[in-house]
Amino acid sequence: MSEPIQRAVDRAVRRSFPMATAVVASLAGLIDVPAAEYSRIAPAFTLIAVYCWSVWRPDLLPLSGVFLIGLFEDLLRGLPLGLTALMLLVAAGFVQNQRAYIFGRSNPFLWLVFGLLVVVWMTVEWLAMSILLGQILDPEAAAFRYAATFGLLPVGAALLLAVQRSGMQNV
Amino acid sequence: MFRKQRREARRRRGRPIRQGSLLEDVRVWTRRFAVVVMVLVAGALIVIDRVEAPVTRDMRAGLADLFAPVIAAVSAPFHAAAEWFDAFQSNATVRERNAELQREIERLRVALQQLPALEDENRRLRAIANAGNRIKGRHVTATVVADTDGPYVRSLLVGAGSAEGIGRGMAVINGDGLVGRIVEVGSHTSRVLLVTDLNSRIPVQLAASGLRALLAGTNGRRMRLNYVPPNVSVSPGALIVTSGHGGVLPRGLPVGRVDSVGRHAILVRPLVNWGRLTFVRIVNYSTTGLVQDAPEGTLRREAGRREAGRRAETP
Repeated sequence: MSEPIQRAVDRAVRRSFPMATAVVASLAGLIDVPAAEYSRIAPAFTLIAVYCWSVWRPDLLPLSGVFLIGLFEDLLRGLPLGLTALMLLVAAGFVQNQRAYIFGRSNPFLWLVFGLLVVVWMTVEWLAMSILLGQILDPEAAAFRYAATFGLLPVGAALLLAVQRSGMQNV
Repeated sequence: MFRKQRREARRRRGRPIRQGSLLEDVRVWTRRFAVVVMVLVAGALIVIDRVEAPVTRDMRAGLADLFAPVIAAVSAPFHAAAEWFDAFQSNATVRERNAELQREIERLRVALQQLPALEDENRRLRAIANAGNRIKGRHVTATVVADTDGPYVRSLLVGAGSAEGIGRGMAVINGDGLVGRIVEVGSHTSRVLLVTDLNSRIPVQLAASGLRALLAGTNGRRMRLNYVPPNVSVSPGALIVTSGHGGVLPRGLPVGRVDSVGRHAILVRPLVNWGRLTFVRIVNYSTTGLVQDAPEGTLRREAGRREAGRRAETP
């Protein structure tokens, strides 16, 4: 393989990291951890990945890609098809639109914005599921899940930042 | 052609496109249009999925088949860690467990001595009642591949599908009791709707009294026992088993124990320990042929009709 082709392939691979990590995050949410009640409070890893990349590298996380990741998650998790896709699309679109106010700010500020996003996400999801299932659902399990998601942002962000620093400089 | 090359060269050099240029306008409008299209597609998919179109079910099953090996491989270290932890715990409490097991063996020996007499009595009583023999089923053992459980949907992916003879509606059990029912079938994976899912409705009866009721999932830790007559006394700890009505599940599978009896609700705790669910058995009880013969998409509607019928029958 000639050097320019190698370089192009290398660049393409590096540019696909945000999408790839979002897919991995989606699969990570499906890991069967044999611990009681883990599955009900397992964090929404995909939301963390989509938020972080929407702030840092929105050019490498197109909204069409976010939409497909949402569909992928809906299909695998058995959720109403299109719901997570729609919610991820709106969340990523919002963050990418407001990026000018978020990017470059302190980590606690990033965390705070994520917290607000999580609260809105949880409320919308709870409302949508209650409507789709035709009854008012108990929000307790969802509250635990999203509290865990909020708490895990620094860890997830640190991992994704390591990916960004190690493999995505100058791409 | 020249314009395209120039644009490409500009993109490679990373030079930004001028604000307010025609190209920038086109890009913004294309992006907005794409977002609107995706929102509409998502809305349409939600509606299509609600009517249980076979195409969405096939897509789910196909994708689960594709990714099940990956998820299973990633889950393996967690299972190994859990086993190690179990072994460690067992070592720590081995003496206590040993004594407990000895007592259990003694109790079972006594029960075993009574078994032939009880079997004989049962056979004679069933002959008098003209009830026939118990239905025997074919079992397939499968591993839990992925945990697709969440706050709103309680389901699992197991590693057996149509290639292993699995069909929709089959009962999924483990050593503790009823785990759920098969709702989607791929080639080598199937989705199990757990008994605790909000959409789960199981015709049950109290093992001791034979009182019939309907066990409904709540998405929570406990299930709700519906349609119990108000004048009937139900005590905490009572065993709940499947009644076999409706022809989907066989009679006598243990499901749970009554946990609390309130003024407005009787809550039942499932017998299955969800944290230890690694293997399950999928059981094909050929009772009426309804499950296997049902055309795509009709199972849930059929179950709904039968449930409505049962509601009308329930006093």
